Parts: sequence; structure tokens; C-alpha cells
Amino acid sequence: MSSLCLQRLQEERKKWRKDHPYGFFAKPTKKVDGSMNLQKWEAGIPGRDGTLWKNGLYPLTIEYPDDYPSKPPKVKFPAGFYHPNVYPSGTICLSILNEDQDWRPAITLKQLLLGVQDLLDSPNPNSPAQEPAWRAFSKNIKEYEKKVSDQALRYTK
Amino acid sequence: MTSLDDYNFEFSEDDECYQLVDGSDYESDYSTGKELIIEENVHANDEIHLRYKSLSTDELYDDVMERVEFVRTITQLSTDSMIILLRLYGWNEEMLLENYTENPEEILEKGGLIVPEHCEKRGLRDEQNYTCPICCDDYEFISVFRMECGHEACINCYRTYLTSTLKKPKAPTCMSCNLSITSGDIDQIFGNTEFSKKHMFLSFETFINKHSKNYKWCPYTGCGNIIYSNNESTLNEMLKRHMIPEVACNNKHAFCFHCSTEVHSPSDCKIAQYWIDKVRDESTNLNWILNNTKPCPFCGTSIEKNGGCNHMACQSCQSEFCWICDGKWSIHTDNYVCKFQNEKKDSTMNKSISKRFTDGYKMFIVHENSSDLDLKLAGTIESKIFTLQKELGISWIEGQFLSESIKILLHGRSVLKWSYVIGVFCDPSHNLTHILEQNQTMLSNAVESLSLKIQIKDPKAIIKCKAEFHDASSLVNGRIIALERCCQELLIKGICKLESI
Repeated sequence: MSSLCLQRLQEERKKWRKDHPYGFFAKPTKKVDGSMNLQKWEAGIPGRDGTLWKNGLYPLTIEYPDDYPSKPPKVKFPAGFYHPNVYPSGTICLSILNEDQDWRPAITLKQLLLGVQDLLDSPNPNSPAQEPAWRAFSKNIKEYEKKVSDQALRYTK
Repeated sequence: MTSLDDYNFEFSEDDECYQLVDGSDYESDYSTGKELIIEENVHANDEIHLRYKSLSTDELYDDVMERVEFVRTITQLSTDSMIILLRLYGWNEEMLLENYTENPEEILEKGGLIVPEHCEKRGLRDEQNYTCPICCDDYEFISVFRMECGHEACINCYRTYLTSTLKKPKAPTCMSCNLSITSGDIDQIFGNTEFSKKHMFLSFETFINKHSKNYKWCPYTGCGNIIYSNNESTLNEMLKRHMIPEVACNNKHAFCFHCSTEVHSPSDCKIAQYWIDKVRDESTNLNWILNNTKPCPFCGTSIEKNGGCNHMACQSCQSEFCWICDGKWSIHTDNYVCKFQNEKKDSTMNKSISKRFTDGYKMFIVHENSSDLDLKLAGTIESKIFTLQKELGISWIEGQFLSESIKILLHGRSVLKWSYVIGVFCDPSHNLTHILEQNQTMLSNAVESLSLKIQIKDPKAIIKCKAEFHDASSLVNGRIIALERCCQELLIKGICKLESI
């Protein structure tokens, strides 16, 4: 791991502990020997109140590559997560997570997680990543709403 | 050998072989109606040549800068800004100019070229006791690069960041916002011009992809030369006549300008391309590419689909198409169901590899292997000539018949090799196909006998049969021409076509 990556991740952790949005959590995972693995984090994003996603706390894994922050981290929901912009593998299709698009080394963990929270209730139908959720969202909004609410129940806080 | 000037080959069914017929009207087969003259030691149909020049990367750099300068005079922007915009547009000058004249503000915004006014100019400055907002390291003394937008980072971060964005076709931006970093900035950050040049060189890949009609990389590993040709009418004419637009770079690497592969005469590009894909079928790696990717319908880049909907956007040429039917995306309305898939061509063709294919493949490989051995032989020719000079007092120029012979030998092998590809796609019941086989045997014999002569080691024996070298070489040449003519006729008459396998 490059020192550049490590230094920044320690700072990200410090900043997060000092201040983070309400209802969110994010922490580095533990290695087998019990030490902290700063390159792999677990996080949770609460669904916003007043949306279909409310009451849910959606789990995420965040993996930082060695050349972070030049390259963006990989942010994933569990496989099979129901959302038009989430691939069947759980990978999120979001421009700020794509190094060819809007990723900037200055983007912080907080901005990133807020971006994902935003995406939950405002999917982008122009870049679908999985068929079932996209199809329901654009053709059968009732079914979509039901599936999303069911999922919210499964991930209740 | 007798001169073949002004003779034409004509196929006669009675004796099943090529005759030399004086003044026949063979040329009526060609759309141009021009008389085709066959000359000794020259490929058939050589009277049309592709005009081209070979460039090194540095020369290409100058060429590209000239084009940049040309566009720049129209837009009146700085060279650095121009390069950023051209990279953003994948070097599509026309599209950029068109969009720019329509709405310059929008294009500048997209290119990250709108610099906030009344701000401190961008640049490096030295700081003490500085904490970099990107790497979060504390420095006692450090250079910091700051943009007009106010965003800044330490020089180490910028160097790492620019190195990692090196391969991107787009110009790099500020670490926090959209403001573009110019070549001048890169030079300042690295303290030399090497890096921005590297950035440019890597962007040439996109440039050449965009202008692939006129520019081609030399396909030889590690060569890096570029061939430029804007002689499109000749190129099209050559392809129409099933001829191979052969070019050679400054390092004397010969290749086909149209399909960027080895010179595959007498196969035409279409058949050679299909064959190369087939041959690659044999190796698992490329098998994977064939099975899991498809070529972009617009630029031919291999594309793998690993998820998502049918809406594909080629990273190389930026065109958008449908994964199912290869058609333009703009006509589609549904991301997952393609209404046009029935219009897709049947691909049952690949199902069985016929015996003809296997036989042709075997012969192809046999001659390819012999070709490799001959190439090794060619490596020893210079020393052979040197021995001749030393032991027998022969002048260098007199010894050149040996290098001439090996050149002809290699050419013969290549033509023979690719003629088997033609054979595979020929209608086996047609008479002309039998004649092709006879011509192949004759060239094969001629090549083998020349090869035997070249393998002679004793200098005295070599000089003794110098005349035989000449004879054997001319024989090979003559057979090459006959075989090439035969193949061309098969192609023109449609006896040899892809659909027949």
C-alpha cells in the first residue's frame, strides 16, 4: 500500500469520526490478525425520510485501490440489490465513482456516501445497470414501489 | 525466362492450364477496362500504386501539431486549449469546429477551459508547514500547485495523479473540479517537457483510431512507425480489384495498409481477415475474445459486455450501438429488448470446420514454418556473401544475387501460404480451382528447388551454380505471377468467396 493512500485514509477516518451525517456509519474492516484494514470499509446508508427507502439501513462495502485517491474506491451493495443503477453484482453505477467520468481525488467519504444516498431515491433511467429494477421503474411503477418497500423492510435499522 | 510483357493469361478448359495468349481481351473482366501489364519481377497489376509516407512518432507529433495549428487559427484559442478540446473530441476536428462555432461557451465549459476571472493565476509556489488536502500529509517545506479555482494540492499528489491519468484520452482536470490541466501546467509540475509529450503520444492512439483511414501504426511489435496515406481513391480501386495495398515503414516492415496485417497477397483483405480470425481460433486466448467480445460495428475494436443493458458505447470511437443487432442506438427505444434482432445475419457459418478448412490450415502452417526457417537462413546470407568476398575475391555487388534470391524465396513462400487460404474458400468443383492447385504445386516445386540452392554452404559450389540461382529465382517469380493472376481471377469471378465455407 502506498503511503499516500494510507495517510489519506487515516485522515478520512479521523474526519468521519469527528463529523458524519446522521444515521450513516462507516468503519474500516479488521484483518485476520485483528489489525485494522484501512483499504476495506463497511458502511451503512439510511434511506431518506419521506421516500420509499425510509427505515432501511443499506449495507455497503468500500474498497480503496492502492492508487487511491488518484483512482476512485469500489463501492458495492450486496449482490442482487434492487435498484436500477446497481449491477447484479452489487456494483454501483454512479458518475462520481467512475474515474473516466466525475471522480476527483478531492471527493471525500462523506460526499461519496451522500451521493449514493441521493441515488437511492433518484435513479437515473438513462444508464440502467440491471434489468428487473429498471424495467419496473420505467414500465410498472407500482411493482417497483412494492419491491423497494419490501427491500426496505429486509434492511430495517 | 521469357519476358511476360504484354502477355495475358487465359484459362482454357481443354488442357486445364494457363496459356500465354497474345493479345487476348482479358482486361474486359475489369471494371476499369484498363490494360493490365505484367512485368517481370513485378507483381501483377502493379501499375497502380498507393502513395504513402512513413512517419516516426516525432514526425507524427509535428504533423499533429500542424493540424492543431490549423484548427487553432479558426478558433483563435491557445494551442494548449486547442489540444484539450481536440482530445475531448477524440481528434474529430470537423465535429469540434461545427459544435464550437455553434456554441463556443458550451464547448469551453465542457473542456474545463472557463477560467474564473480576477483570480490568482495558476502555478506552483513554495509553502511552509503545509497540510495537503489530498494526501493529508504534513510538510515542512513543499511545492504546491494551485489552480484559478482555488483548489490546490502538493506537487507529490499532482505527480501521482497525472501519472495515473496518463492513459486517459481526455485531458486531466483539477483534483476537485472540472478545470482542465494544460500541457504547460504538466511541464511546470514535472519540471520538464517529457511528460506532457508522453501525454500527447498516448493520445495519438485516439488520434490514429479516429483517422484510421489515413494513418496506420506499423503492426510489427515495438516498431512504433506510422504510415500516412491520403490516397483513398487508389486504395478503393485496389480493394475493388482484390489487390493488396502493400506499404513498408522506415524499418522496412511490409504490411497491408487496409487491414494492418502481414502482406497477404494473393488473398484479398476480406478473406485474409476472416482467415486470421479463424486461425486465431486455434489459440485459446483469442478464442475467448471471439466468443466473449464482438467487434464494434463502427470501428472494429473488440468489446466485452460484462453487464448492464444493450445500450453499448464504444470507448474507442464513442459510437453508440445495440449489443443485439449491432445497429445504431438512436433507433432503439427499449434498453433490454431489441426489435431489430431478426435483421441480424445468421451465424451458423462457424458451426462446422470442414475438411477443406483443416487441409488448407495444415498447408498454411507448413509454409509458415518453412518461411520461419527461411528467415533464419536469410540471417546468414550476409556472412555468406562476406565469405564469398574473402575466399574467392568476389565483389560485394556480385554477391548480391544471393540476397535477391532469398527475397524472392520469402515472397514465394508468402504467396504460396496465402494461396492456400484462397483454396479453402473456392468452389471445389470448379475447373479454375483445379488450376489453382496445379499452380500451387508448380510454385511449391520452384520454391523448394530455390530453397535447396540457397542452403548450399560451399562458397565454390555457390559461385559455380550462380546461373542456376538466377534461373531458379526467375522461375519462382514467374510462378508467383501466374498463381497471383489465378487467385485474382477466382476472386473476381466470385468462385472464391467467404460464403462457400
